Formats: sequence, C-alpha cells, structure tokens
Amino acid sequence: MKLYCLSGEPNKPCFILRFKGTSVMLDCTLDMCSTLNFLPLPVVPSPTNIETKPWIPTFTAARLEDEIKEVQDKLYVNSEPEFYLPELAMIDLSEIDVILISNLHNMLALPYITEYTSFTGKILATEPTVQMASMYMYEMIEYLRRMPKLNNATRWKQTKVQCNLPPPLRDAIEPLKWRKLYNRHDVQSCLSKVSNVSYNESQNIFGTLKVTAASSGFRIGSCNWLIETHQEKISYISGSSTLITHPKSLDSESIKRSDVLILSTLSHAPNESHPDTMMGEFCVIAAQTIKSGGNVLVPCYPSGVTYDLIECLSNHFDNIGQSTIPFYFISPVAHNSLSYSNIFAEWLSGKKQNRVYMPEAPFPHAKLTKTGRLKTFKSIEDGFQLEMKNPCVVFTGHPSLRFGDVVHFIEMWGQSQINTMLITVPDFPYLDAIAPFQPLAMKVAHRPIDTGVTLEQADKMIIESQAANVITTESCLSPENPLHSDVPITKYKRGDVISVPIKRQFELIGVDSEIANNIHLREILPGTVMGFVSGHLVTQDNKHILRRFPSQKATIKKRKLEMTNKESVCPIGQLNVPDFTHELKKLGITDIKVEHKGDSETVLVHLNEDDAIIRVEPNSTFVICQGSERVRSKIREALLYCLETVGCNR
Amino acid sequence: MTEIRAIPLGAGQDVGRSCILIEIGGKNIMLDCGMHMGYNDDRRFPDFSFIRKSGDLTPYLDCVIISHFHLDHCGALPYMTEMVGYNGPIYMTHPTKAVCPILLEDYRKLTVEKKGEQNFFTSEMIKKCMSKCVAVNLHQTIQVDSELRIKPYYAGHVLGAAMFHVEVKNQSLVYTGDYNMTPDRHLGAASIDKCRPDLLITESTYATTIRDSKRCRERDFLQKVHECVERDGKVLIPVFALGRAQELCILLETYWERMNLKVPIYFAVGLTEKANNYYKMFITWTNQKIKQTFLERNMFEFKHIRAFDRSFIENPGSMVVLATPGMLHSGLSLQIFKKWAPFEKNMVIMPGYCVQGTVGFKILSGQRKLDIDGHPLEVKMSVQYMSFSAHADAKGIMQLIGMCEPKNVMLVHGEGGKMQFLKAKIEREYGTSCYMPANGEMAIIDTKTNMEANISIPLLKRTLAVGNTKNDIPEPKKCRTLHAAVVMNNNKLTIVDTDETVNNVLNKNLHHIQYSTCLPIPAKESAKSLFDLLTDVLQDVVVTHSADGTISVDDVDIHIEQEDESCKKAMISWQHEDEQLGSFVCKLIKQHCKSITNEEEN
Repeated sequence: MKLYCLSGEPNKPCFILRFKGTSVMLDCTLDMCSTLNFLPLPVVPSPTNIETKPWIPTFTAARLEDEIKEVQDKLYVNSEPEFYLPELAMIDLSEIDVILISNLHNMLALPYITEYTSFTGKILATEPTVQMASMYMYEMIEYLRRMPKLNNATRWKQTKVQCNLPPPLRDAIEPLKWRKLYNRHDVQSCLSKVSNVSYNESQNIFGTLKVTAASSGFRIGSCNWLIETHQEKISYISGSSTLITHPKSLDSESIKRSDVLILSTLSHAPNESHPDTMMGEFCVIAAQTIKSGGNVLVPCYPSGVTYDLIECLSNHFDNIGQSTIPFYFISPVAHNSLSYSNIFAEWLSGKKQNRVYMPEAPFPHAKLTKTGRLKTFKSIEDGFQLEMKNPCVVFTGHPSLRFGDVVHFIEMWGQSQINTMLITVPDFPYLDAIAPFQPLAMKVAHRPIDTGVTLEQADKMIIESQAANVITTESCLSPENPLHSDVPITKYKRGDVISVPIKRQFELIGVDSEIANNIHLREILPGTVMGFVSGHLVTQDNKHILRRFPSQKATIKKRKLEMTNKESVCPIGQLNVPDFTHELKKLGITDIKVEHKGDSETVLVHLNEDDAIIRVEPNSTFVICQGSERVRSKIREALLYCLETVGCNR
Repeated sequence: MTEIRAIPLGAGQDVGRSCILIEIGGKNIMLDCGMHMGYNDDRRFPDFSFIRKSGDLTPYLDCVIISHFHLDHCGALPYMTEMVGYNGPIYMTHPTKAVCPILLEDYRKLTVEKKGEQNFFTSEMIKKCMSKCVAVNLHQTIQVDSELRIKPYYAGHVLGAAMFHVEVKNQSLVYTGDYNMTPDRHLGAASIDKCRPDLLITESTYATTIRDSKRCRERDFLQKVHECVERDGKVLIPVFALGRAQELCILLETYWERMNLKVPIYFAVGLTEKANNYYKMFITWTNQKIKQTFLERNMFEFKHIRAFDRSFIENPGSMVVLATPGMLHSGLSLQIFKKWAPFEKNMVIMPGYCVQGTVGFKILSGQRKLDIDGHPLEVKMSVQYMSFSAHADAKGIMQLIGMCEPKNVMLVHGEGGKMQFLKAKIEREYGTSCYMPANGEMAIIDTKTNMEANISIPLLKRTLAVGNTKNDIPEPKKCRTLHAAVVMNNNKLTIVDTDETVNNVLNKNLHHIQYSTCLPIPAKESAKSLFDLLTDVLQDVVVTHSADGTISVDDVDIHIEQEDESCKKAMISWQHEDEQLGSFVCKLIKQHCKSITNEEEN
C-alpha cells in the first residue's frame, strides 16, 4: 500500500492511496491562506480607508508598482486572490479510480481536478456535503465576480523577484502554482459528476475495495472513510468531532479494528480554548457590544458552525432580554444555506432529528426567519441598507477578510470603537487577516471555535482503532504536543510517498456448495486438517468463484463430470520401479524393458509392444503413449497403486 | 441451512394486513406488521399466535422491518409490541417514523372513540411502540447483528416508502413493500441495484393491469372534475391524509391556475398543514423536480386549496373536496358521500384501491343500492375510478425483476387469481421459480450459496495467468482449472498451493505425473483447424493458440508435429490432476480425425 501526500497542511488534506491495484484520492482541499497575501477587495469601488502606496523595489528593474502595494509597512499583491492547490502533478490523475470526499471543506479543489485534468473516475460524497460545498463554491465565485476587474499580477511571482521581497511575500510557498478560482460553469459540471452516498452505505470499487462513509460529527454530512478488503481495513480520519453539536455524532465504532489509520485533521485550537468556552465568551462579548449600542460583525462561512453561532446567540439574547436585536445573514447563499439545513434531518444529531417528528424545523433559525428576527440578504445591495437597524449582529463572509461583504462592514464600522468584530473561524491567522485594515478602532475579539478532534482525543481514537500503523501530518505534532500511544507513527509532509507494509496473503473466493461439500478434510497430522479441491476458477468483476466443472453442450456426448477417486488423490514421494513393473505385469503388460540412464536417477521403462515409454525421475513420471487409451489407463492404475498418496479415500 | 422459508401471516393472496415471516440463514424476520381495513374482528390483525402460542415474541424474532406508513403495513405494530409483546429492533425510514404514529393515532381514535371498541391499543402504547423503532436512511447498511444486514432502497409509493434488502451470510432477499416504477407529481420511481437476491418478495396489487400513461390518466381525471364543476356538481375525492392527497393537490392546483378556475377546492384532512409540513421537511424524499425548486417555491404550499369545514357540506354550488378516509369506510368522506350520493350531477372519484367490505369497494363493483349502518342509500351520483394509487403495474413488476435479477420470486399483496397470471408470466419470461403462498402457508425456497474461503494470492495469480500470453487481453469470463490443497485455518477454509503445502506439512515432495499421447492426424488438418474445433466445443475453457504452434486448452497442451508429407501427429500432454480434461481432449481429437477419415473414404 502506498500513500501519496499531495498536501502537507494538517487541515487541508489531499492524498492518493494505492492499494490492490486501485487508486483512491482522499479529499482535495483548497488552501485559502494564500489569499491573505492579497489586498482586500472593496465591495463597491469607492474610496476606502485602506491607504495603499505603490511599492518600488530597489533590487530589480521589474515593474512591480501595479502588482505590489504597501499598507502599513506590509506588502500585498494587488490582484484577484489566488489559491494554493494540492500537488496534483505527483501522479497521473487519469489513473485515479475514485475520489472520496469527507466534508464540504475538503471538496473545494474538486472543480480543478474534474474540469482541468485527465481525471475521469468516480466521485463519492454525501448529499449534504455536495449541497453545502456547492454553496461555498458559489459564494466565493459570486464575491469575486462582484469585484472590479483587476490586472493580473504575475511578475512578482518569478523566483528571482520573489526571493528578494520582504516577508511575508518572500515566504509565500510556490506562488507560481497558485490558481485563480474556478467559475460557475466549472462548479456545475463538477457537481454533476459526484455520486451521492449515505452513511454506512458500502460502495464497491471494481470488486476489489469496499469503501464506506461513517459519520464524523464535524459538519452536516461529514464523514470518515473506511477502505476495506475482506481482510484489511484502512480508516481515513478527516474532519471529526467528538462534541455533540448539530451534525449526527461521530461513529467511533466504525474505525475499530483498523490496520492503518490515516489521521489528517486535528483541531487548530490550543488546548485551553474549548469550543464551549469560546462559544460562551462569543455570546457574552456580542451582548456587551449590543448593550453599549455597538454593532457586532461575525465573519463566517455560509454553514457549519454559523448555525450554532446563530442558535446560541439568539438563545443568549432571549435569556438577557435582548430578543429584539436583529440578526442579518448576508451571503449570496444565505437563504439557500438556511433552507437546506432544515431538510437534512437524517444527517443531524438525535435531538435535532426528533424535532422533525413533531413536525418542526430542526434548526431554530427557521423560526427566527419566520418571525423576522433573522433576515437574509444576498449582498448589502439586496435591500439591506433599507432594512438595517442599529444595533445589530451581522454574519457575513468571507472569513479570510479579503473579499465579500465583510470587507465593506470592516470599512463601515471599523472606525468606531463601540463596534466589535468577533472572529470565530479558526482557518486563518487572525492578526494577518486584519493587518491591512489596521489601525482599527473597532474591537477585534478572537474566539476561535474549532470543533475538530484535539490531540488528546486523537490519542484516544488511535487506541480505540487498534491500528497497527498510524499516519499523520508532521505539523500536527510537536515535541510539546506528542501523541502518547505506543503505535508506530509515520509522519508525512507535502510531496511524500509513504509505503505502508500491509502483507496481503489471501484473497476471498466463493466455493460452489457442491464442491465445498465434496472436499474431504482429513487430519493428516495431529492438528493439521487437509484435503484437496479441484474446480473451475471463474473471475467476474474481480470476484473469484470456484465452480464445478461445467456441464457440456448437448453436442458432446460424454465427458465425465464427477471426478474419479483416482484424480482426487495426490501422489507423493518416489516411485519404486520394480514394484511398478510388477504391477504392470499383473495388469497384463508383459513386454517391459527397464533402462537406467547412466548414473543419474532417471529410469526409462519401455513398453515396446504397447508403444509406450515411461520416464521415471525422483519427483516426477512422464508417460508417453501412442494413442491407446487402454494402455494408458493401465499405466495410470499401476502408477497410482505404487505411489504413496494423500487425499480422500471415498 | 440452504433454504429460505416464508410464511405470510397476511397479504398472502390478499391485499391488506401485510405481515410476512421469514426464516433466512437461521434468522427470523418479520416484514411489515399491518392491519386489514376490511375486518373489524380478530382478523384485522395478523395471527401472532402462529409465532408463539402466547407471550413475548422477542426471543423468536431478530427484527421487524416496516416498509412504509400505510396502516395495512404498520397498523398492527402497537398491538404486537405492546399487547402481544416485542422488545426487539424495528426498522423504518425517517419519514415513516415521523408519520406512522399520526396515522396510528387517527386509526385508534376512529376505532375506540367512534366505534366504542374496548381492549384496543392506547396512545401511550403507540408512543412506547414508536420508541422501539430505529429510523434508517436510504442505502445505509444496518448491521442488525454480526450476521444480519439490511439496506433500504427508494420505493416511490408514498413519502418514505422503502424496499429492504436483507442479507444473512451468503443468503439474501428483497422485500418491496408497496412500490411504484413510474415517477409521479411528487415522488420518484423505485430503484434498486442489481443485487441478485435469492428471493424477491414483491407486491402484486396490479398484477394483471398495464396502465396507460400517467399523463393520460391525469388529463382524464382533470377533465372529469372540470366537467362536473361546470355543470354545477360537487366532486368528492376520498383520499388518505398523506400521499396520494398531496399528489392530487399539486395536480389540481396547477390545473386551476392554468385554467383560471374559481371553484373552491377544499382539503378536508385534519392534518392538512401538519401533513404538508412533513413533505416540506422530508423534501429530500420527493422527486428531483420538487427538490430543485424548493428554494424558490415550496410545492406543498397551495394557493387554491383551502381547509374544509363540515358546514360546507350543505353549501350550494360546485366544489371539489378531498376528504379522508380513502375507502369511504367511515369518517368525513363517508359523511359527505351520504349527503351527495343521491344527486346525479355530483361525482365521486375513487383514486385508489378499495378493500373488500368497504363502501368504496361496493360502489366500485357497481352496487348502487347501499345499506349504511342500517340506513338505505341510493347512489345516483356518478362513480369514477381513477387508478392513481402508486403501485407498480405488471410492467413495473417485471421491470423491477429485471433490475435486481432475483433467483426466485414470491408474490404477496394481491389477489390470488391475478397472482396466478403474473406467476406464469414471470416463470415464462425470466425462468425463475415463482411462489405465491396463501396466508399461513409456508413457501420453502431452496438457495444455493457459495461457501466463502481464502485463497493464497500467489496461487490465484498464477492460475489466472494461464492462457494470458504476453500482450493479449486476459479472458476473464473463461474458466481456468484450479487444483489445490485445502487446509483449515481458524475454522475457515484456505486454499493453498498443493506442492508447497505437501512439502511443508508432510515434509515430502509431490510426485508429478505427466501423460503425453501421440495421435496421428490427417494431413490436411492443421493447428488452426484443431484450434477452431476446440474453441467451438469447449466454449467455457481458455483455449489459446500461441505463436510456436502450441494449442493450450487450459492446462492441457497440444503440439502438432509434421513428420513427413503424409503424416502429421498431435502430441497432447497433461498432468495427473488434469486427467479429466486431458482424456477428453484426446477423445475429441480422435473422434474428429476418425470422422474426417471416414468422410474421405466415403
């Protein structure tokens, strides 16, 4: 088994697993941290608070003043944001048989693969994952579409230019490989190629592998993948959560008894920031801001933890008598996201599921929308300006703070200290994210909410899985934060190819009941039970079946179907030639000449009258005769009489 | 255990009270647990004493599977679990679990409060019963225990209806429940993999009907409704609260909008909003079109259809009323029917099947003078039957059989006479045996199952390589002969290489015996003609003809040797294990040469 690691970022997994002649891609995540190197894109081409200066390099004559701008002593690329893809060149993508997607985040690079490479295989994901991922994709596309067209900055990427730039641009990884976002058409075409699976729905990949999605408790429809043969089991753990929030809880039973555990995603958050604590503080800070007349800005993704934020915050506001404060959810897909979340009952936690039986919508945001407390807008231009009442809470994207309506809100509210920006998405280093907007008067509170498994929980999972091999990312582990289990751990980084020793000795075969009933097992030696089997091996769809010898076409008269006793025994040991000739004589063959071949152990037995010759060697006998079945069957009888045999005696 | 046993406790050559007991691979499973609408006595529930004279059924059943929420499939569930006694698992889909208790409660109220029956299950019992139900998702494989697995497939019939694939070790069966093979206004068509079960238990309500296209039926229906309201008549459509009702609403709604009609449509279903809410929440179970448009407009929010009030019965003028229950056996629909039946200009449209004994059944079979609870009633209104009921017709049933390729078929949920016809058709067209046991009758289905074994990978690879010359494509569909030793490992058969094993186990070498037979062949015969002969006769064996002139028939090799102008010889060689094939090839070539020589002489 080989594992190609196309990405090294712990939470941006992309692998290719080669096992049993099948190539499986595990996830394909888009690294969005590259966007932090770009200037934030204003929503409307209006004067902005961000003061930019063209930057003139001293080391080169290359014209960079259009490409690189300086903001608060930091350099940013003045271009449409670009994204860092997994290392797709590591392998010929046309060889991939199937792509398994674990959750919506890990699907965001999929259009690059389906639309711009030679990949033609199957793609498996759960229905909510596909729906939610499509919203993330459309949201980003829409945000970028609205922006004024910018020139395409490429000169700065040249290695000789880039290495002379000040950090962080100097340290940007492989900017030449960064890509612009796909378009609407790419996404549509890509999504039409995805097949839906349910949790615990086993899918057969060419009869060689069985892949199954098991609930991972991280997002609606998120899963871990189990890749199994009838003997081996590889568990691929992606975004997982042991907490009980809105998605169906983690199926920890499923990963037990794995041979290999691939652990790709671990919580970003430091140990002391438990999501519940963060959520509690989030609510308190938001309430304080509102109380003092300020507005709250929550940069967020269009689904996932955002649902929890809305639910918890509205409950908190109810409890402190602030239930009139409006919530605005601004995203091109806000309405769709809220609607979809309420029809995926099967994929939600038991508590949410039970509400459907009433029947009530599983999420309280359905009610909040109905009562008008939560309003959705496609953008700030979608009638939002008319509706807006201060103070309020705004949920909007994109959490990178480089594009989307959030940029507008930072500019609008950033200069007043009564407002607060609450950063909960843990995917971006928050100081870098807000850097180009500095100096900000508004308060910025960083309360990262990462529901993913922590190292501690990962340790527990490893022990529970009883895995013989664990593969995890290098950057997940540090000397201060080791994994404690005794299992050998292989670490990977981008571009690694890891060989995992899985010795496969046996394959599954179906044995026809008639043949199976005719296998006569005998205890040949104490404790050793043995027998023999003969049949026709048929292989279809990589499944092997041992059938009885086929019945013949009507045109052929007789071909004995049942095996005779003589065939089902196995001759062993050496042939005693005098015994053999004696036996032949008894069967009426009289003209026998025995010839010893020099000093070798080979003996020739000539039956001249019967036109046959038998060559006897220590471990084999060759019988050559001239077409007489009568003679041949006599020789056969004599041979089997004289040789020691193992097998059944019926 | 190589047989599956099936006993219908209900739905055997009958419609209603679906309940089938199955024994498969040592497991006992109950498929559906329905009640019969045609009876009010003991016969309305399945006879559970068949399983056990009295007492708790838990030790006798491994699980219960409910296909959908219609009462003839789940109506006896609280009776069974709470009054007879069963605490094991019960599986059903999410929508079924959501809707089932509501219909059960409706039914309970009708029986206890309206008919005043005692000793019936209570609301509390329904709750307790439902708490034992496990909700499952489509295509999700549920491991009931270490050997028993079930997997639901989409069945179309009503919201959340499912077919179940049941698998125990190597034996499997599919139970369809009720299903529909053509997508309708709100649901998709049933679908299943080519899972090749040993047994397919299918409903056969419309065993002999081949329905015209759905569009035509819809147009007919709308035309009849339209004509009736044009001439100032009232139209009554008895329906069940969930299912067909929603489809008809969508149909009427769009027609009313298109034709700009103002005649009121009423939906007289206690649970109107609730019912439609279920459809909104479980939109993923409806058809593609509704799913795609739900963001813009929810198909289950109707503009033209309003809630009904009893007082409207006497209202003058035309109207269309959809009312429960669907078979006119009681409740509001019967009440409206009694009022409207005596007038010629009115119309009742029965959109589904009616069980024997109900008023619906009587008027459909042509009876016009009824006696309802001791009151005579003459029916003058026009009675129409429109098969909107979402069952597969004969064509659909055959289609499903083609889809999953079962080895045996069993018919339930249909009338005996019609089953007979379908049984003959299935046996003729698919050549599979078909069973149709009556209630209480056992069908024993013989299954042949392969035994699972391990095979050493090197041995397997070597065997599969036989006959694959360097650059040609392997012939996967041909057979290769395998001779091997078998050893027992942890109670599992393991097939291993004979030489190696004999060596390892007995510390002795195998003694190979090779036979070669030299046959003279007519001069005009060539390797090519022999190759053609062998490929023709031995169609299921790998026969190859390599560049050096050797023909291989699986492990048997044939060399053609030319000794001089007039004499050719075929040297046929094989190993001791291949005696059967070797001697056969010998005989075949001998006979062939003889017949050619004979021909020449003649």
